[in-house]
Amino acid sequence: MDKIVGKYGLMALILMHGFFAHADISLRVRDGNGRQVKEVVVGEPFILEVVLDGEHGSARNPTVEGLHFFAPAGRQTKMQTINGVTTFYYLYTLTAKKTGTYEIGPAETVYNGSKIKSKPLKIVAVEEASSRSLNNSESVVMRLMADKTRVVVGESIQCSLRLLCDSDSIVIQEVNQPEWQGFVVNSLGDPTKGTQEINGIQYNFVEWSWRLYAEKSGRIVIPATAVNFKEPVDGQESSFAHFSFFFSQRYKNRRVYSNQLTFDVDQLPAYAGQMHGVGLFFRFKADLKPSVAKQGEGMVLTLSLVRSYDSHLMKNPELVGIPQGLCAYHSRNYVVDQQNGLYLECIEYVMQGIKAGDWEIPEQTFTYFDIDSHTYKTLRTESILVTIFPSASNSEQPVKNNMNGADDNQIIIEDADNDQEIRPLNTKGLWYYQAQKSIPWFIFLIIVIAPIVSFLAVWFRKKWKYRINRRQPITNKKRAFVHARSALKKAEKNGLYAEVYPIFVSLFGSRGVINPSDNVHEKITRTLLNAGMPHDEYLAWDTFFSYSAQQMFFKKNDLKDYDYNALFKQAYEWLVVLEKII
Amino acid sequence: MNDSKNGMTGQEYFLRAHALYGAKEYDQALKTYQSIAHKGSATWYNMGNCAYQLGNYTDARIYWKRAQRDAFGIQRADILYNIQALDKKIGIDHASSKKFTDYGIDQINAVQIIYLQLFFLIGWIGLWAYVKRWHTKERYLILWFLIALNCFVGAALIYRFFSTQKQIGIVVSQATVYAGPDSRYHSVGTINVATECKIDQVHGNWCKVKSGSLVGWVKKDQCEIV
Repeated sequence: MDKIVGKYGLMALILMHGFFAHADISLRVRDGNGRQVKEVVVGEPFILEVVLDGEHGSARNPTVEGLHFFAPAGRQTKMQTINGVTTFYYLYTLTAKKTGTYEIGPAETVYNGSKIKSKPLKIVAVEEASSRSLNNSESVVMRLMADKTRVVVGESIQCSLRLLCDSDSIVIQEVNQPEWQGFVVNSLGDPTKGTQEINGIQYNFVEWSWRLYAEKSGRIVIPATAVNFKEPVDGQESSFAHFSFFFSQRYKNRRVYSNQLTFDVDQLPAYAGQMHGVGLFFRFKADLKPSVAKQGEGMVLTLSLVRSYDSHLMKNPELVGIPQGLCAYHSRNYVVDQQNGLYLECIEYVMQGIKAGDWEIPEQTFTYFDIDSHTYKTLRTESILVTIFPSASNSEQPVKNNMNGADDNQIIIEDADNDQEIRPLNTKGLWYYQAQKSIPWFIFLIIVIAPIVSFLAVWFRKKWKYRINRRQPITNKKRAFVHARSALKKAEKNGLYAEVYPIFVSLFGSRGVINPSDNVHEKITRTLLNAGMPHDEYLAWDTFFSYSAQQMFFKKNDLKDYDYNALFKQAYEWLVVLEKII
Repeated sequence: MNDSKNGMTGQEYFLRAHALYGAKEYDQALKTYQSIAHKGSATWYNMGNCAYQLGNYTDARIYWKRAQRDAFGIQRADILYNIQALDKKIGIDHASSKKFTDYGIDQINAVQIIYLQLFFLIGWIGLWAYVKRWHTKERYLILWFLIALNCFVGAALIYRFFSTQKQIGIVVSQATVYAGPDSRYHSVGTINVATECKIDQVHGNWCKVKSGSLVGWVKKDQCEIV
C-alpha cells in the first residue's frame, strides 16, 4: 500500500513540477493606453506584446511572424520574477500602414531545447477608430485635416490639427506636433481657439495650422500624432470612493491619437529650362536704386514678384546677362503682405559698378508651374540702364576710350573748363542744402555773460559783507536794549534765572561799556558811578547784579530766602534805569 | 537726402548733370541741377558754371552768390575766383577798388560761424581764467593781447551775425534807381546788369538798394534776391 501511494505521489510531484516548469508564449495587442484591443487605427501606434511566461530555464528571444505588414516605431523588453518564476515581455511599437485584417504571429522561441509557439493573433486595421467617433463618450479627440490630398511637387497644402475637448476638468499635458517628413512647412501663426457643437454637445477646440509644400513626389504619409492628458478618475471606479471627501481629485493619465494623413504627390511635368515656383504669380519686376553711382558704390537690385498667398517660390531666379562692368551678390529675401490676398515676394541683390560706363541689365525671367492651367508660364522684367561714374580719385582725370577693342559703353569725362577762365565743377561738395552749424545765439550769450555775472556776484558779495561787518557794532549798540528785553522775556518764559546775568553783561558789552578783557564788575561800577548814579541806587543795583550772578554760578537751591520771581521784575526795572544812563 | 523726382535721387541728378556738363550740354546740365529740390553750395556753384558757359552772366552771379552763403574754405575761394572772372569778362574791375578790409571780410566769411563762436568762447573763458589766476602787473602785455584777440573775434562774430540778416540782390536787367518807391520819383542813377547790390528794404514791388555809393529804389523784378 505504501509503495502504491508513494509511487503515485512521486508521479504527481513530477507532473506538478513539469506543469509548473512549462513556459508559455502568447501574443497580445494593446493600444496607447494599455487596453487590450483587436482593432487598430491606420497610422496610430499600437503595442504588440509577446509574453514568455513561467520561465525557469533558458529561452531565446522570440521571433514573430507577420511583422512586415507594419511600420516599427520602437522595441522594449521587460522582466518580472515572482517566486523564482520569471515572465518576459517583449514589446513592439508598430503602426499599420493601411487598412485590412492582419494575422500576427505565431511567436516562436526555443525553451530548454524544445520549440514553443504561440497562437497567431488577428487584428483589424481601420481608417478611423470606432471608439473615437464623437458620438460616444470620448472626451478628447484629435483631428488632422488637409484641404487636399492630391498635389504636385511644390503645390501648397493647408493642414490643421484640431484638438477637441468636452470637459474643463481635463488637463492637457503635451500635444505632439505631426512629423512633416517630405514637406517644407510654414506655420500659419498662433493656434486658434473656438467651440464646436457636435450632436448637441459643446466642444472646446484648439487648432494649429500649417502650409505645406511637398518636396518630392510619391505617396507621403503623415503619421498620427498623440496628445497626453490627465482625466479625473470617476468616483465609482475608485476603491476609496466612499472616502473621497478625504482626498483631492485623482487623475489618470491617458493618451489619444489623431488620424494619419496620406498625400499623393505627383511629379511636375518635364521642363527643359529652370523653373522657380509653383502656384499663381502675376507680376515680375526689377528695380535698381540708385541707377547712377560711382565705381565701387553699392546699389540695390530688387526683383519683386506678386503671388497668391499659397504660391511657393522654390528657388530664387538667377541673374543672367549681368554685364562685366557690374557684379551682384544676393542679399536677402523678404515678403510683404499686400493685404488683398496677394503677397509681394522680394529678392534683393547688392550690385556694384566695377568699371565706369553705361551698362544694361537685361530682362530677367521667372518660370513657374501654374496650378490652375497645369502649364509652365514665364514672367519677364524690363531691362535696366545703369550709369557708373569713375570713383572720386579718378574724377578730375579724363577717362579715355580703350583704343584696343574700345568698349562703346565707356564715357569720356573731360575737364570742360580747361580753356576757360573759371574754376571747374565742384564734385565733392555738398549737393544738398545743409544748414550751418552754430551754437544758438542765446546760449552763446549766456556763456559769454556767465563769467561777468559770476565776477560781479563775487564782488558784490564781498562789498556786502564788508558793509555788514562795519555796521554790525553800530547796529548792536542801537538795538542793545531791544535785544536785552527780548532775551529777558524769553528767559522768564522758560524760567531760566541764570540767564539774567549774561543778558546784562551783553548789554554793557554792546553799549561799549566793557570789553572782553575787562573786569566786568569793576568796569560797570565805575561806569555807573561816573554816569552820576546815586550811591544808594548803585547799592541796590549791586545787590541785584550780585544775586543774578549767583543764579548763574550757584545752584538754585543753595540760595535761600530769595524771591526768584522778583528777579525778572527787578531786571526789567533796571533796564529802564540803565537806558537813561548808558 | 532723397528728392525722389521721377524715381531719381538728388545725388543721381547731381552726377548726371556733371556728366552732361562734361559733354558740354550746359543747358541740359543746368536743367538737371535745377531738378534738385534742396540745393547745396556745390549745386549752386555748378549751376553758376553752367550759366556762365551759356553766357547768362546774371544768373551765373546769382547762383555763385547763393553758393557763397554756405561755402567755406577752398570752395569759397573758387567762387570768388569765378566771380572775379565774371567781373573781368563784363568789364567790372573790382580788384583796384578792393580795400584791405574787403580781404579781411572775405577771410571772416570763409570760416564757419560755429568755429568763430568756439574760438571766441575759448578765448573769452581763457581771458577770465588768466585774470583770475595768473595775471600780474608785469604781464600786462599778455592781458592786452588776450583782450585784443577777443575783441577781434567778437567783432567778426558780430559782423557775421548781422551779415546773415542782410539781403543781397543781383540786378538782372539794366535798372533805373529812383529816389523813392515809385517811378514818379526822380531818378538818381542806373545799375548795370549782373551788378551786386545790398537790399535795405522791400516795400511792395520796390526794393531799396545800395550799390557802391548809389542808394535808391529799383523795381523788385529787376533785382533777384540771392
